[in-house]
Amino acid sequence: MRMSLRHAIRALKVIEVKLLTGSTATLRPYLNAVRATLQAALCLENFSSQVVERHNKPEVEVRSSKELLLQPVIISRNDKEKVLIEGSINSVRVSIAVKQADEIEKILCHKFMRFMMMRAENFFILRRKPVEVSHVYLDLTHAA
Amino acid sequence: MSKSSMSDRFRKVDVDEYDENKFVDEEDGGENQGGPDEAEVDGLLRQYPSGRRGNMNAALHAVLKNPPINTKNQNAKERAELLVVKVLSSFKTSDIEKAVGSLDKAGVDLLMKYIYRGFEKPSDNSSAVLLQWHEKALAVGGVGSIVRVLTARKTV
Repeated sequence: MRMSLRHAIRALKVIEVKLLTGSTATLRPYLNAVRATLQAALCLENFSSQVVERHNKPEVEVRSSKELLLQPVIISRNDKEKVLIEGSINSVRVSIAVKQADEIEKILCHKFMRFMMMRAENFFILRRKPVEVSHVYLDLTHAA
Repeated sequence: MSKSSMSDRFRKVDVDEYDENKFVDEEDGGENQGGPDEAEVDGLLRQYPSGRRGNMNAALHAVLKNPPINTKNQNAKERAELLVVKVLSSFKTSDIEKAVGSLDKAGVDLLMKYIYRGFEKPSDNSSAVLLQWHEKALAVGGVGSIVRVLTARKTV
Protein backbone atom coordinates (compact mmCIF):
# COMPACT_ATOMS: atom_id res chain seq x y z
CA MET A 1 0.00 0.00 0.00
CA ARG A 2 1.56 3.26 -1.04
CA MET A 3 1.71 5.94 1.57
CA SER A 4 1.24 9.57 0.70
CA LEU A 5 3.06 12.43 2.33
CA ARG A 6 0.03 13.31 4.42
CA HIS A 7 -0.13 9.77 5.78
CA ALA A 8 3.55 9.91 6.55
CA ILE A 9 3.15 13.11 8.53
CA ARG A 10 0.24 11.64 10.46
CA ALA A 11 2.27 8.51 11.16
CA LEU A 12 5.14 10.62 12.44
CA LYS A 13 2.79 12.50 14.77
CA VAL A 14 1.51 9.21 16.19
CA ILE A 15 5.05 7.99 16.73
CA GLU A 16 5.94 11.25 18.43
CA VAL A 17 2.94 11.01 20.76
CA LYS A 18 3.85 7.45 21.62
CA LEU A 19 7.40 8.48 22.36
CA LEU A 20 6.23 11.33 24.57
CA THR A 21 3.74 9.25 26.54
CA GLY A 22 6.49 6.78 27.37
CA SER A 23 9.30 7.66 29.73
CA THR A 24 9.73 11.31 28.92
CA ALA A 25 12.54 11.82 31.38
CA THR A 26 15.15 10.44 29.01
CA LEU A 27 13.66 11.74 25.78
CA ARG A 28 14.91 15.33 25.96
CA PRO A 29 18.48 14.42 26.98
CA TYR A 30 18.52 11.69 24.34
CA LEU A 31 17.48 14.06 21.56
CA ASN A 32 19.89 16.72 22.78
CA ALA A 33 22.74 14.25 22.87
CA VAL A 34 21.93 13.07 19.35
CA ARG A 35 21.67 16.65 18.13
CA ALA A 36 25.03 17.62 19.62
CA THR A 37 26.75 14.53 18.23
CA LEU A 38 25.27 15.13 14.80
CA GLN A 39 26.46 18.70 14.96
CA ALA A 40 29.97 17.41 15.57
CA ALA A 41 29.80 14.67 12.94
CA LEU A 42 28.12 16.62 10.13
CA CYS A 43 31.27 18.56 9.42
CA LEU A 44 31.81 17.53 5.82
CA GLU A 45 33.83 18.77 2.90
CA ASN A 46 34.37 17.75 -0.67
CA PHE A 47 37.03 15.07 -0.98
CA SER A 48 37.79 13.29 -4.22
CA SER A 49 38.71 9.65 -4.15
CA GLN A 50 42.38 8.97 -3.47
CA VAL A 51 42.19 5.60 -5.18
CA VAL A 52 40.64 6.43 -8.52
CA GLU A 53 41.31 9.75 -10.14
CA ARG A 54 38.41 11.99 -11.09
CA HIS A 55 36.07 9.97 -8.89
CA ASN A 56 34.21 11.26 -5.88
CA LYS A 57 32.95 8.53 -3.58
CA PRO A 58 31.31 8.66 -0.14
CA GLU A 59 34.14 7.42 2.06
CA VAL A 60 31.86 6.01 4.73
CA GLU A 61 30.56 3.52 2.15
CA VAL A 62 33.79 2.78 0.36
CA ARG A 63 36.05 2.76 3.45
CA SER A 64 39.12 2.77 1.29
CA SER A 65 41.51 4.63 3.64
CA LYS A 66 41.62 4.49 7.40
CA GLU A 67 42.71 8.08 7.88
CA LEU A 68 39.48 9.38 6.35
CA LEU A 69 37.14 7.64 8.77
CA LEU A 70 35.94 8.81 12.16
CA GLN A 71 35.19 6.61 15.13
CA PRO A 72 31.67 5.20 15.01
CA VAL A 73 29.66 6.38 17.97
CA ILE A 74 26.41 5.13 19.53
CA ILE A 75 23.95 7.12 21.60
CA SER A 76 21.41 4.92 23.32
CA ARG A 77 18.35 5.71 25.34
CA ASN A 78 17.77 2.09 26.34
CA ASP A 79 18.69 -1.16 24.70
CA LYS A 80 15.88 -0.87 22.11
CA GLU A 81 16.42 2.71 20.98
CA LYS A 82 19.75 3.88 19.75
CA VAL A 83 21.41 5.93 17.07
CA LEU A 84 24.68 4.87 15.44
CA ILE A 85 26.66 7.63 13.77
CA GLU A 86 29.58 6.75 11.51
CA GLY A 87 31.36 9.70 10.01
CA SER A 88 34.06 10.34 7.49
CA ILE A 89 35.52 13.30 5.70
CA ASN A 90 32.81 13.67 3.08
CA SER A 91 29.89 11.55 4.28
CA VAL A 92 28.03 10.41 7.35
CA ARG A 93 25.89 7.36 7.97
CA VAL A 94 23.18 7.68 10.61
CA SER A 95 21.43 4.46 11.64
CA ILE A 96 18.42 4.84 13.91
CA ALA A 97 16.87 1.98 15.88
CA VAL A 98 13.31 2.91 16.77
CA LYS A 99 11.44 1.27 19.60
CA GLN A 100 8.62 -0.93 18.34
CA ALA A 101 6.66 -2.07 21.34
CA ASP A 102 3.49 -3.33 19.69
CA GLU A 103 2.12 -4.26 16.32
CA ILE A 104 0.86 -0.81 15.39
CA GLU A 105 4.29 0.72 16.01
CA LYS A 106 5.94 -2.00 13.93
CA ILE A 107 3.56 -1.29 11.05
CA LEU A 108 4.07 2.46 11.33
CA CYS A 109 7.83 2.12 11.39
CA HIS A 110 7.74 -0.18 8.40
CA LYS A 111 5.59 2.28 6.44
CA PHE A 112 7.82 5.17 7.36
CA MET A 113 10.86 3.22 6.18
CA ARG A 114 9.22 2.38 2.88
CA PHE A 115 8.34 6.03 2.43
CA MET A 116 11.93 7.15 2.95
CA MET A 117 13.36 4.38 0.77
CA MET A 118 11.09 5.08 -2.17
CA ARG A 119 11.86 8.78 -2.11
CA ALA A 120 15.55 8.32 -1.46
CA GLU A 121 16.61 10.37 -4.49
CA ASN A 122 14.66 13.39 -3.33
CA PHE A 123 16.25 13.23 0.09
CA PHE A 124 19.74 12.65 -1.30
CA ILE A 125 19.89 9.42 0.66
CA LEU A 126 22.32 6.95 -0.76
CA ARG A 127 21.91 3.70 1.14
CA ARG A 128 18.70 1.71 1.15
CA LYS A 129 19.72 -1.44 3.00
CA PRO A 130 20.05 -1.30 6.75
CA VAL A 131 23.30 -1.79 8.63
CA GLU A 132 22.98 -4.56 11.25
CA VAL A 133 20.12 -3.98 13.66
CA SER A 134 18.63 -0.65 12.84
CA HIS A 135 15.46 0.43 11.21
CA VAL A 136 16.12 3.74 9.55
CA TYR A 137 19.42 4.59 7.95
CA LEU A 138 20.46 7.73 6.19
CA ASP A 139 23.64 8.36 4.27
CA LEU A 140 24.37 12.03 3.96
CA THR A 141 27.09 13.43 1.74
CA HIS A 142 28.58 16.89 1.57
CA ALA A 143 26.55 17.61 -1.53
CA ALA A 144 23.20 17.25 0.23
CA MET B 1 51.70 -18.82 -27.87
CA SER B 2 54.49 -19.96 -25.63
CA LYS B 3 54.47 -19.05 -22.01
CA SER B 4 57.11 -16.59 -21.03
CA SER B 5 59.97 -18.30 -19.26
CA MET B 6 60.15 -15.58 -16.60
CA SER B 7 58.12 -15.97 -13.43
CA ASP B 8 54.80 -14.18 -13.28
CA ARG B 9 54.48 -14.15 -9.50
CA PHE B 10 54.77 -10.39 -9.55
CA ARG B 11 51.13 -10.34 -10.54
CA LYS B 12 50.11 -11.73 -7.17
CA VAL B 13 51.85 -8.98 -5.19
CA ASP B 14 49.49 -6.43 -3.64
CA VAL B 15 51.15 -3.20 -4.69
CA ASP B 16 48.98 -1.02 -2.44
CA GLU B 17 50.57 -2.51 0.66
CA TYR B 18 53.96 -1.09 -0.28
CA ASP B 19 52.74 2.40 -1.14
CA GLU B 20 54.81 4.90 0.85
CA ASN B 21 51.88 7.23 1.38
CA LYS B 22 49.69 4.55 2.86
CA PHE B 23 48.45 5.49 6.31
CA VAL B 24 49.32 3.16 9.18
CA ASP B 25 48.19 3.73 12.72
CA GLU B 26 51.01 4.18 15.19
CA GLU B 27 51.41 1.16 17.40
CA ASP B 28 52.48 2.35 20.82
CA GLY B 29 53.51 -0.20 23.38
CA GLY B 30 50.70 -0.03 25.86
CA GLU B 31 51.44 -3.09 27.89
CA ASN B 32 51.71 -1.23 31.16
CA GLN B 33 48.40 0.52 31.04
CA GLY B 34 46.07 -1.70 32.99
CA GLY B 35 43.25 0.74 33.44
CA PRO B 36 42.16 2.44 36.65
CA ASP B 37 42.96 0.78 39.93
CA GLU B 38 39.87 -1.13 41.08
CA ALA B 39 40.76 -1.39 44.73
CA GLU B 40 41.36 2.33 45.05
CA VAL B 41 38.14 3.26 43.30
CA ASP B 42 36.06 0.78 45.31
CA GLY B 43 37.51 2.11 48.53
CA LEU B 44 36.63 5.67 47.62
CA LEU B 45 33.14 4.65 46.53
CA ARG B 46 32.42 2.86 49.76
CA GLN B 47 33.20 5.97 51.73
CA TYR B 48 30.53 7.92 49.89
CA PRO B 49 27.45 7.01 51.99
CA SER B 50 29.15 8.44 55.04
CA GLY B 51 28.49 11.86 53.61
CA ARG B 52 31.86 13.30 52.48
CA ARG B 53 31.14 14.73 49.07
CA GLY B 54 34.78 15.29 48.40
CA ASN B 55 35.30 11.54 48.08
CA MET B 56 32.99 11.21 45.10
CA ASN B 57 35.05 13.68 43.11
CA ALA B 58 38.15 11.82 44.21
CA ALA B 59 36.60 8.54 43.05
CA LEU B 60 35.88 10.12 39.68
CA HIS B 61 39.46 11.37 39.37
CA ALA B 62 40.81 7.99 40.39
CA VAL B 63 38.73 6.12 37.85
CA LEU B 64 39.79 8.49 35.07
CA LYS B 65 43.46 7.92 35.84
CA ASN B 66 45.51 5.58 33.70
CA PRO B 67 43.07 4.97 30.87
CA PRO B 68 43.78 1.83 28.81
CA ILE B 69 44.10 3.73 25.56
CA ASN B 70 47.11 2.06 24.02
CA THR B 71 46.61 -1.56 25.05
CA LYS B 72 45.17 -4.05 22.66
CA ASN B 73 43.89 -6.05 25.59
CA GLN B 74 40.11 -5.98 25.27
CA ASN B 75 39.61 -7.26 28.81
CA ALA B 76 41.42 -4.30 30.30
CA LYS B 77 39.30 -1.93 28.29
CA GLU B 78 36.05 -3.62 29.29
CA ARG B 79 37.02 -3.71 32.94
CA ALA B 80 37.86 -0.03 32.87
CA GLU B 81 34.59 0.79 31.17
CA LEU B 82 32.47 -1.15 33.68
CA LEU B 83 34.27 0.54 36.52
CA VAL B 84 33.66 3.98 35.07
CA VAL B 85 29.97 3.30 34.51
CA LYS B 86 29.69 2.07 38.08
CA VAL B 87 31.24 5.25 39.43
CA LEU B 88 29.12 7.47 37.20
CA SER B 89 25.93 5.69 38.29
CA SER B 90 26.65 6.17 41.96
CA PHE B 91 26.71 9.95 41.72
CA LYS B 92 23.67 11.92 42.81
CA THR B 93 22.17 14.03 40.03
CA SER B 94 22.89 17.27 41.83
CA ASP B 95 26.57 16.42 42.24
CA ILE B 96 27.27 15.71 38.59
CA GLU B 97 27.79 19.33 37.62
CA LYS B 98 30.35 20.00 40.34
CA ALA B 99 32.19 16.81 39.52
CA VAL B 100 32.50 17.75 35.87
CA GLY B 101 33.61 21.21 36.89
CA SER B 102 36.48 19.76 38.88
CA LEU B 103 37.95 18.04 35.83
CA ASP B 104 40.51 19.62 33.54
CA LYS B 105 40.14 19.75 29.77
CA ALA B 106 41.81 16.41 29.15
CA GLY B 107 39.66 14.89 31.86
CA VAL B 108 36.48 16.12 30.23
CA ASP B 109 37.57 14.63 26.88
CA LEU B 110 38.36 11.33 28.56
CA LEU B 111 35.00 11.40 30.34
CA MET B 112 33.23 11.91 27.01
CA LYS B 113 35.09 8.94 25.55
CA TYR B 114 33.96 6.75 28.43
CA ILE B 115 30.39 8.04 28.14
CA TYR B 116 30.18 7.05 24.50
CA ARG B 117 31.76 3.70 25.30
CA GLY B 118 29.13 3.22 27.98
CA PHE B 119 26.34 3.93 25.49
CA GLU B 120 27.36 0.91 23.46
CA LYS B 121 26.19 -1.53 26.11
CA PRO B 122 22.96 -0.15 27.58
CA SER B 123 21.90 -2.00 30.70
CA ASP B 124 19.13 -1.21 33.19
CA ASN B 125 19.36 2.43 33.90
CA SER B 126 22.86 3.10 32.65
CA SER B 127 21.76 5.03 29.58
CA ALA B 128 19.65 7.48 31.54
CA VAL B 129 22.55 8.23 33.86
CA LEU B 130 24.97 8.51 30.96
CA LEU B 131 22.65 10.90 29.17
CA GLN B 132 22.71 13.21 32.17
CA TRP B 133 26.48 13.05 32.36
CA HIS B 134 26.64 13.70 28.62
CA GLU B 135 24.55 16.84 29.02
CA LYS B 136 26.73 18.21 31.81
CA ALA B 137 30.00 17.28 30.12
CA LEU B 138 28.76 18.90 26.91
CA ALA B 139 28.05 22.12 28.79
CA VAL B 140 31.65 22.21 29.98
CA GLY B 141 33.49 20.75 27.01
CA GLY B 142 31.32 22.01 24.18
CA VAL B 143 30.94 20.39 20.77
CA GLY B 144 34.74 20.28 20.57
CA SER B 145 34.91 17.50 23.13
CA ILE B 146 32.60 15.39 20.95
CA VAL B 147 34.73 16.12 17.89
CA ARG B 148 37.79 14.96 19.81
CA VAL B 149 36.03 11.70 20.62
CA LEU B 150 35.11 11.16 16.97
CA THR B 151 38.57 11.90 15.61
CA ALA B 152 40.65 10.07 18.20
CA ARG B 153 42.70 7.31 16.62
CA LYS B 154 42.89 5.30 19.84
CA THR B 155 39.70 4.71 21.80
CA VAL B 156 39.52 4.10 25.50
